[in-house]
Amino acid sequence: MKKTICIMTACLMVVVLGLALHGEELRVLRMSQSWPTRIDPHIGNDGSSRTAYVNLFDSLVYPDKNSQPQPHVATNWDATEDGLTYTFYLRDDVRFHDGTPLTAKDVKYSMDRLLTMGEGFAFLFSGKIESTNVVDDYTVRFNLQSAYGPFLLSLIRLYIVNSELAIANTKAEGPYGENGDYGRAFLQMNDSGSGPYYVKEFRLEEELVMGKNEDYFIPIPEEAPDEFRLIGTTQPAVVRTMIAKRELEITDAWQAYDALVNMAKQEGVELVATATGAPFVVMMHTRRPPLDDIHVRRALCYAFDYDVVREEIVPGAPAMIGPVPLTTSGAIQIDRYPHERNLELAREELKKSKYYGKLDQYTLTAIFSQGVMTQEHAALLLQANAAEIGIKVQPKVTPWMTVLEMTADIDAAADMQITFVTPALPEAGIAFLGRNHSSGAKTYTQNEWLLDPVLDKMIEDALATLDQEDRFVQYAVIQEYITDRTPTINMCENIRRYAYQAGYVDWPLDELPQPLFSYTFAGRFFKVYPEKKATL
Amino acid sequence: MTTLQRIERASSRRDGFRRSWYRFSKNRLSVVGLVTVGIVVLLAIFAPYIAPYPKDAGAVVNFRHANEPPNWSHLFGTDDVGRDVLSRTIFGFRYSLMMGAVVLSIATPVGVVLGLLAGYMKGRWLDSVIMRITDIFLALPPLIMALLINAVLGPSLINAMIAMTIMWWPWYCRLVYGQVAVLRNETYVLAAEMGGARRPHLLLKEILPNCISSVLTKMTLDMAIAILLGASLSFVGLGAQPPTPDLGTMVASGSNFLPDFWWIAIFPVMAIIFTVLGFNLLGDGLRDFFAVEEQELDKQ
Amino acid sequence: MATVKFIAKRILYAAFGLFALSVFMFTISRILPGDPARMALGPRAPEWVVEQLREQLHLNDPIFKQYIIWLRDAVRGDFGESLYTRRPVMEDIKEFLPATTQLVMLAALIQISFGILLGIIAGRRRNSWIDNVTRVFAYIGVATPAFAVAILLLLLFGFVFDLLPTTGQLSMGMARPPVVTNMVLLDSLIAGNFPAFFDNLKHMILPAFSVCLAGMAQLTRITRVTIGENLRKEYIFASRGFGVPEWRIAFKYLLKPSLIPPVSLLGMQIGALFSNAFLVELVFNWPGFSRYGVNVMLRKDLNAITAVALVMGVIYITMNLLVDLGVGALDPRVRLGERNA
Repeated sequence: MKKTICIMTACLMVVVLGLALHGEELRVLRMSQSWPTRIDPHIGNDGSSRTAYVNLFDSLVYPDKNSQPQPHVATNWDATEDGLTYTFYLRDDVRFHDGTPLTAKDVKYSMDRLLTMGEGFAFLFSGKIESTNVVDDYTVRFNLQSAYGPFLLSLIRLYIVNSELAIANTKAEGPYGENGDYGRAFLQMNDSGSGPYYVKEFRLEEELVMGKNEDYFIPIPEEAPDEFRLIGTTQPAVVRTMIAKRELEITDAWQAYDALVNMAKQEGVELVATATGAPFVVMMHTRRPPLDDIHVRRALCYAFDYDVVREEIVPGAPAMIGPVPLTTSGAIQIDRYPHERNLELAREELKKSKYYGKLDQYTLTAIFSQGVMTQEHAALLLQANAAEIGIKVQPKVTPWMTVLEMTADIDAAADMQITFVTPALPEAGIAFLGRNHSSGAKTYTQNEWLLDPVLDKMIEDALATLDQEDRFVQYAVIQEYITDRTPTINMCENIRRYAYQAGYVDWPLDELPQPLFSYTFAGRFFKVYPEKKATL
Repeated sequence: MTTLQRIERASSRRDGFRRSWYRFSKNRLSVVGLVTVGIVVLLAIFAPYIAPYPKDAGAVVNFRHANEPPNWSHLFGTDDVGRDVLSRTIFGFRYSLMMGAVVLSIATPVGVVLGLLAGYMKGRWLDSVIMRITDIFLALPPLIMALLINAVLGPSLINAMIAMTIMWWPWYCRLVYGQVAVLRNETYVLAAEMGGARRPHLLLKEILPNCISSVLTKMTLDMAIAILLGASLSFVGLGAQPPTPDLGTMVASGSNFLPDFWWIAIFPVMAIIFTVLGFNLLGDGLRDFFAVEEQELDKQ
Repeated sequence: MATVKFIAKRILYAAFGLFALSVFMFTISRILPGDPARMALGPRAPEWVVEQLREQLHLNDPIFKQYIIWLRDAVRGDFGESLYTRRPVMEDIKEFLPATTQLVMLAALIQISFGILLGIIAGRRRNSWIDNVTRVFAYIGVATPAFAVAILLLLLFGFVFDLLPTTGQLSMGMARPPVVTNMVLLDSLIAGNFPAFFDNLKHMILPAFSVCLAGMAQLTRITRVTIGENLRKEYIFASRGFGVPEWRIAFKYLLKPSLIPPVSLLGMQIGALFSNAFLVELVFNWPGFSRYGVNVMLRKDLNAITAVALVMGVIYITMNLLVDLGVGALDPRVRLGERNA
C-alpha cells in the first residue's frame, strides 16, 4: 500500500516538473470555435469553416475594410460592356503550400468543382456561370450566362484549391461522374491552399492548427501569430477557464453576454462587438394556418418585445427596420415594417384575422439550435410575448440535422424557426438569394415558404443589373414588396461579441471588413506580443 | 417456506405493523431516506403553493432581473432569464419524480409479467422469445441505450420517458426471470402444482408475492437511477424542452454560467443529489428490512 | 466443456442482440423522412449528383436488399459516411475510440485501486472516523451524476485552484507523438516521449475521476461489507490462532474471497464507466468516442449513430463476458452456466 502511495507521489512530482519545463516562445493565437470546422473550401459556409478558409486559401479578389473587392491573386481584370465576359490576370508569384504555382487552371478547377458540388458558397454562382476558360497560365476568363451585378464581389468567396494535388488524390468512385469523388475525401482532411497560413495539424473535433506561411506573396509582419489555432470547444466553463489562464486569446461568439462581461473583468481582457450583417429572425411558415394569415403574422410582430432583445439578449444590437439589416449594402429603412412593440396594434391585427377567436386551437412550434443561448432566450421571450395576445408558442430545441431535415420539406418544416442567417456577402441581392428567393427555400436560411414567382423574378432581374445605383433602386422595391407580406419577425441585427486578450494581442478590428464574416479573423492582421503576456 | 408459514406471515403482518416499523426505523439512515423522499414528494405535490414564484416555472421572462445572486426575495437567486431558481427547483422535483414514476410504473409491470411468463415457461419457445428480445436491450449500457432511442425519437420530455421505459423493462424482466427460475422449484410451489393448482394461480398467488419484496426494493433504488438518468439525458440535450423546469436541463443551461453565477446550476445539482440520496437510503433500508424478514421467516 | 458451451451461448445471444439492434437502427434510418443522399450533399447540390449518389448508396433498391448490402459492408467495417464529419464513420471511430479507451482504462484502474483500498481501510476499522467518511463519500458519490462531478472538479481544480488542465488531451506546444495506436499515452511511451506521456496523464486526471467516482463509491462500500463479513469468519480467527502472519491473512484469506463481489460489481460498472464517459467527455472536451457519439446523436447523424451503437455494444458485451470469466476464475463455486440469469 505504501509502495503504491510512493509510486503515485513520484508520478505526481514528475507531472509537476513536466509542467514547469516547457516554455512557449511562439506567437500563438488561439480561438475557441463551434465545430465541425471544414478545410475543404467548397463544402462549408458556416462560421468556423469561413474562419479557416480566410486563412488557408486565396481568392482572386480580397475585400477592403468596406467589404469592396480589391486585387489579390488577380492584379487586374476587364469585363465586357454587357457584363457577360470577365478576364482576370493573375500574379505569377503565388504558390500553394506544397510549392506548386497557382495558375489559371486552378481557378477553373475551383469554380468547376464548386459548381458541380453545389454546396457551401456555390449558390453565389450557380446558374450564372456558362464556362470558365484558361486563356494562358496566368489569365482566366469567365463566361456568364447572364449579367450578374455582384459577380466581382462574389469572387471573394471563390477559394482556390491546388488542382494538381486534388486531381492526384481523387477517388474514382463518387457521385460526380467522371470526376469521381472530386477529391472530397482528400481535401476533407488535407491542406490544398495557398493562403497566409497552412494546415499544421488537423484533428477533427479537437483542433485545427495553422502555421504561418513564410513564403506568402504578401509579406506578413513578424508580430503576426506564428500559429493560429482553432480549438473545437464552446463549453462555457472551459472557455472561461482558458481565458482566465490566458490559454485562449479570443473566445467564440456563442458565449453568454454576462459570461463575457465577467471574463472582461480580468486585467488585459477586453470585450468587443463586431457587426455581422446577420438578421436575427423568427421565420414564420406562411403556408401553414394560422401563420398563412398576414394579420396573425403582423400581430406577432407587434407583440414582440424588440427592446428586450436589444437590451438584454443581444445587448447593443442595432434594430432591424425593414427586411434587410442596415449594414448590408443596398438595404433601406422601411418604417412601416413592424419593429416596435405595440400590443394595441397587435390586438387590432388579430381582430382582422380570419382566425380571430380560434387561435387557442393552435400551438406554434418554434425551433432553434441546440446550445445557442441567445436563440433560446429569444424563443422564451417569443413564447411569453405571444401568450399576451393569446397565441401559444412552444419553443423546441432541435438538433442541427433535424433542422436541416425539417427545412428541406415544406410539410415537415416547423411553424417558426429562430436563427441568425449570416449572409455570404453583405449585399442585399445576395441576402435575397438566401432569404427570399425560391432557390433558397429548402435550406435553413429560409423557413417562410413564400415561393413567390413574382418575387423571384424581381430578385433575378435586380441581380442581373450591372449598374449599382439601378440595382439598389430595384432592391428597394423588393424590400417594400417583402414588407407588404411581413413573413418574418426581425428581432435585431445580430452582433457577435468576443472577449479577447487585448493586453498582448493587437486586433485591428476597425480596419477589417466587419459584416463580411469572417474576414475579421484573418490571422495575418493580428499581432501577438508574448513579452507583454509575461508582464500581465 | 411452506404455505403454512405464509399464512402465519400474513396474519402476523396485520398486527405486526408496529413491529415492522420498529425494525425499519432501527436503521437511522433508512428513516433519513424516508423523510427525504417524503419532503421531495410533498414539495412536488404542493409545488404551486410552496414555490414563491410559481409562474416562473412556465413561460415567463424577466431579463431585467437576470442572474441575481441569492437574496431575501430570491433565496436561490435568479437564472439567466430572470426566473426564481428556488421556484423552478421545487417544480423540478415534480418533473424528476414524474419521470421516474411514469417510467417505472410502465416498465415494472411489463417487465414483471414478461419475466414471470418467461421464467415459468423456462425452456419453451415463449421463454426464448422474451429473453432474446431482452438481449437486444441489454446489448448496450442503459444510459447509452436511452440516449440512442431518444436520439432517434428526437429530444423532448415525453420522448425521454418513452426511451427510458423501452430500455428499462428488460432489466425487471431479467430480475423476475431469475427469481422465478429458483422459486418454481421450491417445495411449496411444487406441492401446489401437484395439488392441481392451475398455472395462473401458481404465478399470481404463489410465485409473484415472493418476488414483490425484491421488485419493491429495486423500484425504490431504480427511482434514484431513473432520476439520474433523466437528468443525464437532459444534460446532454436530449431531454425536456425549455421552459420546462427539469432539473437536468436547469443544470445543463446553468453550467453555461459557472463559475460567476454558480447558483443557477448548483442548486438544481443539490436538488438532484438530495432526491437521489433519499431514494438510495430508502431503498437500502428496504433491502435490509426484507432481508431480515426473510431470515426471520426462515428461522421459523 | 461447460465453460466453452457457456461462452458460445453468450456470444450467440449477444450477436443476436446486436443483429436485432442493427436491423432496428437500419430500418429507422431508412424510414425516417429525409433522403440520405440529399442530406449528405446538401439542399443545393445538383439533382444528377444526388441521383448518382443515391445509386451508389443503393437507395433505389428494396429495403431488404439495402439491409443485406449494408450488413455486408458493416461486417467489413464500412458504415457509410458521417453527415457530421463528412468522413467514413469507421475512420472517425478509429480516430476517437482510442482516446476513450485509455480514459476508461485509467478510470477503471483508479476506481479499482482506490475503491478497494478505501473499502479495506473502512472494513478493517468499522465505525471509525475513516469508515464514516467513506460512508458519506459513498452515498454522495452514488447520488451525484457524472456531469455534475465533472463540472465541480473542473471548477475546483481548473479554476479555483488552477492545478490541472481542463481541456483536450495535450498541452499547447506539446507535440503529439507519432501515431501508432492513436492512444496518446501509449504512443508517447513507444516514442519514448516522456513529457508528452505525463502531460497526457495530467490531462486525464480530472476526466478519469469524474468518470469513475460513482463506481468507486459503490466499490468502496461493497468491499467494506465483504471485508467486514469475512473478518468475522471463523477461519480468520483460527489462522490467527495458528500464528499465520497478519499480512498473509490479509491477502490470502481475507482479500481473495472478499474480491468476488467487487469484481462481479465491476462487470456492471463497465457499462457505467462508458456511460459516464458520454457525459464527462463533453465537459472536458476530451476528443473521444463518447463525445463523438453525443455529437452525432444531437445531430441525428444516423449512419454514425448506428455505428457508435454497434461498436459500443461489441465492447460492452465482450467486457462483460471477460468479467464473468474473471469471477469464475476467482471463485470456483460459481458455475458459469448459472450466472446466465
